[in-house]
Amino acid sequence: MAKYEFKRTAQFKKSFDALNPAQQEATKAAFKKFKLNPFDPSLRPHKINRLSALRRRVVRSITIEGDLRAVFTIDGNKIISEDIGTHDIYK
Amino acid sequence: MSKPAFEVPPVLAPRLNRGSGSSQGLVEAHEEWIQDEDLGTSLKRRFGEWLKDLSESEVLFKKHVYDNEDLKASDMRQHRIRICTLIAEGEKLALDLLILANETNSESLVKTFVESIDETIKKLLNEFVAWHGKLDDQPDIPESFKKAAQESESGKLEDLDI
Repeated sequence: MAKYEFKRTAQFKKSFDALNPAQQEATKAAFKKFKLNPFDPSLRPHKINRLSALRRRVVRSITIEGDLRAVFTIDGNKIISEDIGTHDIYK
Repeated sequence: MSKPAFEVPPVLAPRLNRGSGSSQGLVEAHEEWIQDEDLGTSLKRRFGEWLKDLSESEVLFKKHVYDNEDLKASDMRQHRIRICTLIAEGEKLALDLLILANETNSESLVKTFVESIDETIKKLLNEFVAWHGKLDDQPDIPESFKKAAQESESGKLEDLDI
């Protein structure tokens, strides 16, 4: 597998900090898998077409638990975690 | 000489006859078959065709844009082309209906059609902005995503530390 560099935005940290403790724990567990393989099928990675169209770049989402999703983009070998939340548009 | 199929309007005749040496203003008879149709019938037909195009486009949009896992720039371009064409035809239809209503004092008869066309055009415009507009102009997209996108695109990134 290609070697990835995992990055995040400042907003990602803000959104993470706003989650409740249980959601934060679930996110940490999911991101252990994510750092090994961002396309791990158990994370149900998928493209979000409308956000990708508006950004003119592919925006993907993984499922942390229930309605909680993290969105990320790829720039070269950088995997950029951009935001996390339960917004409908991230489904 | 036999009678021509049609006579060229005088304004066009000089151009069409350029170099022919003819002074008759005639062209070879290739007649187009035109169905004799009054304006009301024509508008009804165009309205039906527009509704059919809308319905066909919805199916195409779902397949090639909304549910397309491999969305390409050419899909986006065709989406724009179809939306713009549907809007243009809808506007033309509404205008022609209003002109007909004005000429025949039948505003009340076309009112429902025009309102329905306007409503559909509004939805098409919203659809256009939702897929082709600026990220910051989208009311349903969370502010956190807009902020994150700005940070990501400006390269203001930190190591993932969770």
